[in-house]
Amino acid sequence: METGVAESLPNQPNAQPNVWKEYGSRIAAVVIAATLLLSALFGSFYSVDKTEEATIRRFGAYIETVGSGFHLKLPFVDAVRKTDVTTIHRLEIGFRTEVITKSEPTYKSIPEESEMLTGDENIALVDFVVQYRSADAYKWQYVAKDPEKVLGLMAQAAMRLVVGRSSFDQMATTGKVAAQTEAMQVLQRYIDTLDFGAQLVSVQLQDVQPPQKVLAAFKDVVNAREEKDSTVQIAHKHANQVLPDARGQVARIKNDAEAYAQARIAAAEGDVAKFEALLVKYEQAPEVTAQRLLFETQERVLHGKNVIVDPGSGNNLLKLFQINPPSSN
Amino acid sequence: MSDNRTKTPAEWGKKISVGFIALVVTVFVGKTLFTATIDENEKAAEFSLGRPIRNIEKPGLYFMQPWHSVTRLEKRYMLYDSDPHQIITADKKTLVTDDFTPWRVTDPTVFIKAVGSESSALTRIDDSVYSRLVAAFGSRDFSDIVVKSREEIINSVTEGSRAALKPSGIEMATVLINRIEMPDENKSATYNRMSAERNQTAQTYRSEGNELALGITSTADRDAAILVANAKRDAEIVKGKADAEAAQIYASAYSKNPEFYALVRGLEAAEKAFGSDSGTNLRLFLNGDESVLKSLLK
Repeated sequence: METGVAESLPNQPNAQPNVWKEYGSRIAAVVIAATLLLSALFGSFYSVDKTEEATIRRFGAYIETVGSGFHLKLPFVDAVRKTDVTTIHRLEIGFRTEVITKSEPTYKSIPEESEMLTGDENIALVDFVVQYRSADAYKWQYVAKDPEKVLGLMAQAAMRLVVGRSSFDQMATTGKVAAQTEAMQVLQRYIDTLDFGAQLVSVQLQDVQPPQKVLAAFKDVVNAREEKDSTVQIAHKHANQVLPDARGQVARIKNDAEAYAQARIAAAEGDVAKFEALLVKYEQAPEVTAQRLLFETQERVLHGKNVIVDPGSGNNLLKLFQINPPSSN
Repeated sequence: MSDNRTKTPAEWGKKISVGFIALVVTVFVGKTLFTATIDENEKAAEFSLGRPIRNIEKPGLYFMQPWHSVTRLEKRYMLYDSDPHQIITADKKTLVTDDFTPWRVTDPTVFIKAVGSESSALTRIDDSVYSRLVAAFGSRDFSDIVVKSREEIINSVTEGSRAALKPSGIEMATVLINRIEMPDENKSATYNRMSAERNQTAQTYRSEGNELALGITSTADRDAAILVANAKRDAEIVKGKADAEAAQIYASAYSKNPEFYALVRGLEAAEKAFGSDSGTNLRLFLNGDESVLKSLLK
């Protein structure tokens, strides 16, 4: 064995590759170790919101459901999946609320969802809302792949079944409450067949409309009904006016007649009184009274008139002033 | 001679590092080659070089020979949602209908052999359900289907399809009918009919209104006329009575002395006829043989 002087490796001019050879493995190891450590660190705890529950899987298999709060878990092998279990979610069918501005939200109509056939072979546009909770975290996550979509389709099917049993008029007016109650019952039955973690809270009909093309005719019915009411009202008004007017007339006629009657009798009584007064005088002194009356009348009659006298058979004009002069014939 | 030096810390470090890296790599490789993890939403079939070995239905970590493979399938219910079909009813009307059903895989090995993939499964389901729907609709009338028989149809289609697809490893929940509608071509006829019905109702309302109004006004007018007519009649009676009474008063007074009455009456008549305001141009012809009175009275 030659024990020569060992070649002094450290003094070789290419020092760079040796850094890697020297330190490469250690650097790599440190990096890997650090990464693993950090992953383990951050992967060993999690938190669950007040409204949530989380399912924990170890090596892929479900082990438990945990409630809200701060929890520890095994890093790398434990997986967490959270679901909101208390908030009530709102599923809109037939329409979508677009923008909620301060005053009024706007809606977009989805005819494919809202157009439904009624029992009397008419077409109604039915908008409704399903309120639900995803109340069981495990079931919501692991029974159905897309539970919200399943719920939406079931809701549509349920409502269509109910609408198919009603007439259009019922759906639009008196039957609304019954329809939504029935739809909820049917939907609950459908949900029960699958048991996928949905908890039904309510089904609410928002709006039942006729199709656009028919809307004018439908509105006209409302107008017609109103017109009928107002026509009848006007007639009543007329009637209420006519009868009192007539009664007023009746009163007037009655009063006029009575006034006439009274006047007539009063006049008769007055005339008769006058006559009877004269009669008394006449009966006391007939010729004198008669003469006096004649003269008085003559005075009044002849006053201011042109009078032509035919002398007649004699010159005795005194005849003129007698009541009953002896006849000259 | 080579030194049998004890290893330096640096060399230890290197060895440890390399060993550590080797360990990590081994774990990862081993995990990949020798294990399979089946997740909670999965079920799987294990194959050895194409030959089926077993189903793995419970999730978890499994040891596996490296030459085995695992085909994973969705364990949860998936949605089959059909496209709209046009189907003819017993009374020769066309309906457009679509349906859906949640379905899932039962036996992974059977499913893979019989069906192969999820999309194939959808096709199978579609065929099975559609043919039964056609039969169910074809034996019932339009209004029957829309109003009464939906649940009946659902039940029979579900039963039949479920039984038919079970051997393929497919489990179906209830088939539900979503839409039952008229084809677009028929819709305008429906719209027209709906409009016409409404127009008729509107017309009826308006006619009823007019009829009622007419009744009310004519009754009121008639009653008013009757009131007035009766009043007039009564008034005439009153006046008549008054006239009669007045006449009676005159008669009983004047009959006390008819001659005197004649005189007074004659004078009155004359005065009325030629009264002081009859006009100053009036000329009176008087006969000297008679009294003014007589002349006047002629």
